Amino acid sequence: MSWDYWRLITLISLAGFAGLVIGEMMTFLFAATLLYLLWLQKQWFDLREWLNKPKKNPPPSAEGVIDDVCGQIERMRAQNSNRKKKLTGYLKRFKKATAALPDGIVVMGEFGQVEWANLSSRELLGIHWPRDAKLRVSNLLRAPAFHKLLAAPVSENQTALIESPMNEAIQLEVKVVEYANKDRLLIARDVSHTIKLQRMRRDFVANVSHELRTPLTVLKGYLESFDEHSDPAMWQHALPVMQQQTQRMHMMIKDLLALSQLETGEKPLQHRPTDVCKLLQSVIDDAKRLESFRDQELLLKCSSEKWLLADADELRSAISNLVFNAVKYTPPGSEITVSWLVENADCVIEVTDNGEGIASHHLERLTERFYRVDNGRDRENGGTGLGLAIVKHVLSRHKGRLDIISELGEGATFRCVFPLAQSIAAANVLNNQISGNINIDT
Amino acid sequence: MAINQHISQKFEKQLEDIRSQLLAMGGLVEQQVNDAMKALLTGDAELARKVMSGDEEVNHYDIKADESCFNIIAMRQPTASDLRLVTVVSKAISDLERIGDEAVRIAKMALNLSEKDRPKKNYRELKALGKHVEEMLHNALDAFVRQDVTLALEVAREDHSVDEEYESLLRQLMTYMMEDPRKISRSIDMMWSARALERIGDHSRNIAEYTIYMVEGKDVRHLSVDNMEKVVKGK
Repeated sequence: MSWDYWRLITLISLAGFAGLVIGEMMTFLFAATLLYLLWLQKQWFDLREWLNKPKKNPPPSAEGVIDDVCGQIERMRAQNSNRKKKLTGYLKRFKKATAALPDGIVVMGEFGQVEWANLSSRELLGIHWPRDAKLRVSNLLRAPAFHKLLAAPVSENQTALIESPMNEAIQLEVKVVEYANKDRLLIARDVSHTIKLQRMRRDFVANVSHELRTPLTVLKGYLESFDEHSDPAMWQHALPVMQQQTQRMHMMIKDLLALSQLETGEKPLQHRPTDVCKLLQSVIDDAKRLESFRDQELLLKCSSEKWLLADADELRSAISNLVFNAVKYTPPGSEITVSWLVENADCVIEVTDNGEGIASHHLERLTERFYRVDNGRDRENGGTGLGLAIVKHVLSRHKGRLDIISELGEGATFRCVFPLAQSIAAANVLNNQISGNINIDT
Repeated sequence: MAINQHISQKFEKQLEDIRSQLLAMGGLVEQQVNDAMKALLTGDAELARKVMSGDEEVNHYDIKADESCFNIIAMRQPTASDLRLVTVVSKAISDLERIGDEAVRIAKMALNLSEKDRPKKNYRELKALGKHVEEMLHNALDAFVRQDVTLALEVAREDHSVDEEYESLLRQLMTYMMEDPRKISRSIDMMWSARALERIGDHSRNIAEYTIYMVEGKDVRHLSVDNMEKVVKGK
């Protein structure tokens, strides 16, 4: 502040002194004031120029008020640009986050027009932002169920189930949320997986009750027709049938229990080195003693010396399921090959037959419980419908997986694929056995 | 979107509303066609009946949307692109209504066929034709919403291949009928369904042509697809 006063006082007193000496004091004073006024006016202009284009023009510089004002403006500017940077940073992060959301999200304006949409809505709803800006959502998603949802008041919290216009295999659950006075948010979620799970559960309950009811009906029928006076000869005929039916129910319940045990992981796994070739041989021997064995040719191909770290009981039940299935479902004289091999980073137990094969659309659902390729066929053979489900669970407990390769008329190949890390060289096993480190299961 | 700001915002909204009305009707008709095809392919009599009763709603939409168009013409005297929009909507409505009728025809055939024993494999071609036509209708409506001339031209081009598919299906059915007279009644039902699908394709093409007229202001009806393309590109 003082700078401005000193400047003015010095100028005026200098002019006054000079005027006093020359004798034209008023003229000098007037000229000095005018000069000061002009200088001030120029500073004003400079300030304006600088404010308009801060990068092109230098700020007016004069000690005192003008410098202070410029300094404060500078500070405010820096603050503003910092805040702006921060906000755009937030906005960018927010936009990235919403774009990455797996659910389709569309911001709708007053009349349901698209105001913004994230990336997922492109794949799920076919709404491209910014191409579809200002188009009404109801014009793009024309399913009547969706229109009903839009017409309903938002407060009712309804959802609609529609097919994705991009891919009819995708089922979408659509929801509308109101978030500002008239703006609404459309959320679309891919629920195809949930719907599939629901169907599987429904099928399972229906199947299990059906499977258990069939033998029960047989038993009940016999029991109702008998009383204490009935002919012993009838009993003789009925008893084996009844026994067979109870046996079937027993098997099924045993399988179901085994499956639920595998699933919940209640039974601890006993990973021990297992001689796969020996195990396969004994499974094949068992298969030959099966009732349903029809003189198929059973071949064993052991092309690897390795042993497998596995729970021998579980592994045996899985492999038996596969081999017995092959025996049950191939015509007499077919060839069934069981092999044990190492392939790249995997070791594989393979059961191949040259029977009728399985149509490709069944393959995906084959390991579902009670899923039947051919209704009735399995029951004749006394299967429980749970075999492949058990195989799948055993393998996943051993970090392995089940691959099924088949085509109608081309036979079928069931491959149990384990990671190589699950295997162990036979020599190591024997050495350790001698030193007594490992218990051996065969 | 090339809609100029009108002085009256209400007019603007009215125009948008008839557009929406047309597309809501389009959505319903799409569903009718999809359901009718599903009923036909799976032999679902229940669904077929649903489609037949659903036509009432289509007709209701038809009357309502037509009335809105007349209201706009009477009260607002639209000109230029607005007039084109109103006339196009009013024409497209009648095409959609016909598509709705064809869907009912398919549903009737589905009901007929559901009572007869059904071999599975004969439906494959019909299914392919159905998919093709459903897609055409969907694209025609999408082109209308987005004012997308390229997509509209594509729809017009598809119509040609739908016609070809229809012809080959007819020939196939004729062979069946000659081979085995017991198949005649079923084959005729299938022929009617194929015919209805082919008609739906034609109506979809009409809607695509209206879209070109609305956007470009050029009448491309009764032109071959190649000529259509030339007109659109202004050659």
